[in-house]
Amino acid sequence: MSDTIGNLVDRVFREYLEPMDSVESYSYLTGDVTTTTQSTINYEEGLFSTEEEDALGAGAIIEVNRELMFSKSLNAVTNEITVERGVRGTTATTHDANDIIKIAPAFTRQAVYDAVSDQIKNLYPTLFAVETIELTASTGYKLLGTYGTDVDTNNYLIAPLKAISQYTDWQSGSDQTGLKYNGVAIEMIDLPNPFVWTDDTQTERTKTYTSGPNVVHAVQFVGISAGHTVYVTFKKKFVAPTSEETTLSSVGLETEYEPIVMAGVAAQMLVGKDIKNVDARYITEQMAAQNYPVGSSNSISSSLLRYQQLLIQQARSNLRSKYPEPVQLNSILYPT
Amino acid sequence: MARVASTSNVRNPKRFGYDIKLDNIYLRTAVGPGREMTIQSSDVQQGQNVNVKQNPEDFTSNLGRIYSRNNFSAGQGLDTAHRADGKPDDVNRFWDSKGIDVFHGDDETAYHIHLLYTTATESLSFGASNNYMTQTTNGNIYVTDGTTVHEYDASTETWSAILAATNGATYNFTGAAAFGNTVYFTTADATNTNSEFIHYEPDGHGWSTHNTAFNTTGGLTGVWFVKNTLFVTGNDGTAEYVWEGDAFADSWASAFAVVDAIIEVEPTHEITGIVDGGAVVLTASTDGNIYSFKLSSGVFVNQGQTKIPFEEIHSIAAAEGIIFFGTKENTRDVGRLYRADLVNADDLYVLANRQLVKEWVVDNVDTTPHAMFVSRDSVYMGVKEDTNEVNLWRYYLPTGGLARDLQTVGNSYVSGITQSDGKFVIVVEGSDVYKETSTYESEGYVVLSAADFFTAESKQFVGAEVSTVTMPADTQVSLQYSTRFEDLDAPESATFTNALTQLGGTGDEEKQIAEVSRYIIGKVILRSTDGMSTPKVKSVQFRALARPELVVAQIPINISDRVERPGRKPLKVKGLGDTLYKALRAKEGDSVTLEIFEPQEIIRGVVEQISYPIQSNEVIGSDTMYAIITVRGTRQGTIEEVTSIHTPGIAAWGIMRYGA
Repeated sequence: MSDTIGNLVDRVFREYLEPMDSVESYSYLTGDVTTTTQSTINYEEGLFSTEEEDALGAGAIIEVNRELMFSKSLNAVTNEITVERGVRGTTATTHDANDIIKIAPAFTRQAVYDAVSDQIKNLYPTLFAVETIELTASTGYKLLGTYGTDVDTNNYLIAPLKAISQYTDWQSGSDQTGLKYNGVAIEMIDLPNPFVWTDDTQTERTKTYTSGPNVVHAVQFVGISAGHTVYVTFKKKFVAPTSEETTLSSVGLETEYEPIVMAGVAAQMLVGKDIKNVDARYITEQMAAQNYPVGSSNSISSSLLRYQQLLIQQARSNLRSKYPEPVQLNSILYPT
Repeated sequence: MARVASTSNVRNPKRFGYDIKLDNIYLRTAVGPGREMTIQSSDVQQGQNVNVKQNPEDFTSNLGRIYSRNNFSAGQGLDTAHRADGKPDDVNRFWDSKGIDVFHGDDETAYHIHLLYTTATESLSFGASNNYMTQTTNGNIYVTDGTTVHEYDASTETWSAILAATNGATYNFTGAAAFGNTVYFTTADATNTNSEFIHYEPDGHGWSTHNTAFNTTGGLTGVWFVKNTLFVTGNDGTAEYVWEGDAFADSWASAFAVVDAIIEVEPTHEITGIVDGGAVVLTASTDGNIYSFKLSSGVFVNQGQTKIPFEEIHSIAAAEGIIFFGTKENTRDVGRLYRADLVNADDLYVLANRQLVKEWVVDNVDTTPHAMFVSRDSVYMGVKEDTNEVNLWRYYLPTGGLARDLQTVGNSYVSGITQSDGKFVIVVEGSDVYKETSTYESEGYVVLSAADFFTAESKQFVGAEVSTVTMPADTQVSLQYSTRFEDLDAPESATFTNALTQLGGTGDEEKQIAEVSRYIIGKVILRSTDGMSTPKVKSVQFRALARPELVVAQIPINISDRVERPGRKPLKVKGLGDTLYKALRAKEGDSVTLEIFEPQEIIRGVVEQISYPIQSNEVIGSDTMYAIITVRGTRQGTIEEVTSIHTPGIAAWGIMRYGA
C-alpha cells in the first residue's frame, strides 16, 4: 500500500513494468547534482556492463528520477557524462548521490507519474471521492472556500450527498449527547469563476479557483436558521497530484483504489509496446494472483483494462451502497 | 564508439551475463531454438598409418585395438612395441624377463613360455678365485681352486679333489684346457717368478710337468685348446705373449721363448680368450683387440686384428660364423655384448658389421659378460647383475634374440659354463659351482614392450587376457600392467596393477581393466608353488579403445547491437554488432583459448570457422544477429577462480593458477 503518489509509481514499476529479473540497465550517481544547470554527472561504473556503459555515449537518453537528460559525451575512464538537462518535456531538478540513473528506459518515471495522475483523474465520474465539510448556515449563499486564490480543493466538489445539523449552536462545555442530527435541505450553486462579492464589512472580495472546474461553488440552506453548524458531505472529483510527495488521501484516493490505478497505468504504458516475454509472463502472473487470469487470446493491455473495469465495478457498487443518490427537488437536496 | 568487453574492462564477466571468453574478449551467445551451442568430441580416426596389427589376437571383430604377444623368441630389449621403422621380428620381442624360458617350449612341445629350472650349489666352496674350468672328452669337469683341482665324475655325478701340490703343481693355477681326457694347466706364483706348464691325465697316470723355463722371467697366464693346438699365454713384465704348441707331440722343453710368441701384447693387459673362429683362431685381449691367428705353413701367425675402441674384451665365442664378444668399458663397470662377422679383407681377417646386442648398466656392479659357452642353438654368458645374483644370458641363434636365463646366487664373475647330462654347470669365481636342477623357479616374469599403437594420445584400455596351456596344479599366472613408461626399467614397481590371476584352465577370457594412458606395459608373472610343474603361457593381450581428444565447439555468438544482459531489459548499443563481428573475424584461424562459463569448459585450439552474420528467424519476430564460431581443440581441466585463500602460504602451498 502506498502513502504518496511516488510510492504508487514505484509500486506500478515493481508489480507490472519492471519484474525484478527484468529491470532497466541502471547504476547510481556518485555525486550530488546540486543545480538544475549542472552539465556533468558521474556514475558508478561497476553496475554497468561494457556495452551498457557504451550505451551512455553521445545521443543516449538518460533518466535520473523524473528528469530525462540527453548525453552529449561520455568519458568511460572518469565515469562522467556531459548532459543536456531536462529534455523531452521533463524538468531539470537537483539530484542526490545514490539516485538511480537509467539508460533510455522504455518506461520513464515521468510517463508513469503522468499516467498515474491521468488514471486518478479519470476515475471520475465512475468513481468519486467524498469529502465532508463543516459549514455555518447563513441566510444567503455560502461560498465554499475562503476568498483569494485557490488555497483549497473545494473546486473539485461536485454535488452534496447529504447535510446534517443539530439545529443549535454549540456551547462550550454543553452536553451534546442529548441532541440528534437531522437532515438539512441544501442546494449547491455554481457561480462564475472568479466570483466577486462585497462582504458584511463592505469589503469587496474575490474568489478564484486556479484549477479544476471553471466555476466557484457555493451552497444555500433551506429551513435552518443562520449560524447553525451544518456538516455537508460532498461528492468530489479526485484531485490531480502535484508531485510525487502528494499523499493519496489528499487526492481523495482510497486505499482500495490503488489496484485500479495501477492496472490502468500498466495498460496505458504497455499499449502498443513490444513486451518482452519475461515481462508479459510476469504481468500475467500478477493478474492471476488477483484471480483474473489472462486468457491466451487476450492481449496484455486489453486484459489489464478489463481487469481494471472489474475492479472499478466492485468499487462503484460499494460506493453506491454507501452513498445512495439523494432526493432533489428544484435542485434542492432534501434529507431522506 | 562501442567497445568489445575484455579482461581489461570487465572484472566479473559472469555477473554481466557474458557467456564465453575467447582469449581476452568476452562474448554473449545467441543460443536459442534452431541455433544451439554444441560441444562434441571430434571423430576418432580408426585407421593408422603404421600397421599395428601383428598377431591373430590383434585382429578383432569387436571394438578397439588389441596389443598382443604370442611369441617371445626374438628376445628382450624392445621398449616400444609399435614403431614406424619396426623390424619383422618385433612382434616376437619384449622388454625384459627373468626366470622364464622364452625361446621355445620344453621337450619338443609347441611354443609357449614357461619357468626355467633353478640352480643349486655343488658345495665346493672355493677358497680362492682362480677357478678355471675345462671339460674333457669323457664328460668329466675340472675346476681349479688355488692349487687344488676339483674333478667332477660325469658317470657318478660326484666331485673329488685332486691335490696337485704333491704331484708337481706347486703354484696357483692360471689356466686349464682339456685335450681329450687330459687336462693341461698353467700355474704361477703371486710374483710371477715361478711358473709351470703341467698336465693331468686320469686313470692313474697323474701329473706331468712339461716346462718351468718361463719361471725365471715371468709367469704363464693361461692355456686354451683350439684347432687341435694348445695355446699358452705368459707375461714377463715386458709383454703378454701367446705361444702355440703341439699337444700331440707333448714336447714342451724348449717352448715359451719370447721370440716364438705369435703376438706380444702390452704387459698391463691379458689374454682373456682364444676360440676357434672358423678361418682363424681369434684371441681376445683386454687391450681392446681381437687378434686373428691363421695357420700358415704349419704355424699360426697373426693375420689381422680388430680394435674395439674404449673396451676391454673379457670373453669371446664363435657360433655359426658369428663372433660374439663381451666387453667392459675401459673406465666404467659397464658390460656390453657385441656380435660381429669375421671377414677377409686384403688377406687380413678382421671383424666387421659389429653390432651392440646389449649393454648392462648397474650401479656399482661390474656387469661384464664372462665365460661364453656355445651350444647347438645358443650362446650363453655369465653376467653379474647384483650382489649374490649372477645370471646366465642366452643368445638364441635361430632368432638372434637375447634373454636372461638361469640364475645363480654367486657373487662374482662366471669363469666357466658347460653342460653335463643336459644340465648346465656354472662356475662363479670365488663362490662355487652351480648346477641346473629339475626344480622350476618359484616365480618368473616377462615385461612386455610398452604399447601405444603408435599414437601419442591417451587410450582407454579396457581388457586384458592370457591364454595358457591347461594349468597344472600348484601353478599360477598373473597378468599385470602399468601405464608408466619408466616402469619398463622397474619390473618390481608397485605401480604394476594386477589385471587377472589365473589358477586353472586355459584362460582365454578377457578381464576388464580401466586405464587411460598413452602406454600400457604388460607384465606376465608365472608362478610355481611346488617347483614340480610350470604354467605355460601361449599368448597375452590387451584391448584399447580410442579416446577422442579433440572437441569441437560450435557457438552462436550474439553480434547484434541489442544487448540482452540477464536481469536487465534489452538495450541497443549502436555499432556494437559490427565491432563484435570484426573482433571475431580477427580471430579466424588463430590459436585461442575458449572458456565457456556454463557448462564450464576450457578448450584450447584454433578458430576453425566463423560464419558470416546470420539473422535469426524473422518468423518469430526476433532481430538477433549472430555468427557461428567453430573452435576445434583440446579440452582443458576446469579451474577454480583464484580467491584470497589461494594466496601462497594460506591454502594452496604455492600451488595456484595465475591467468587463464
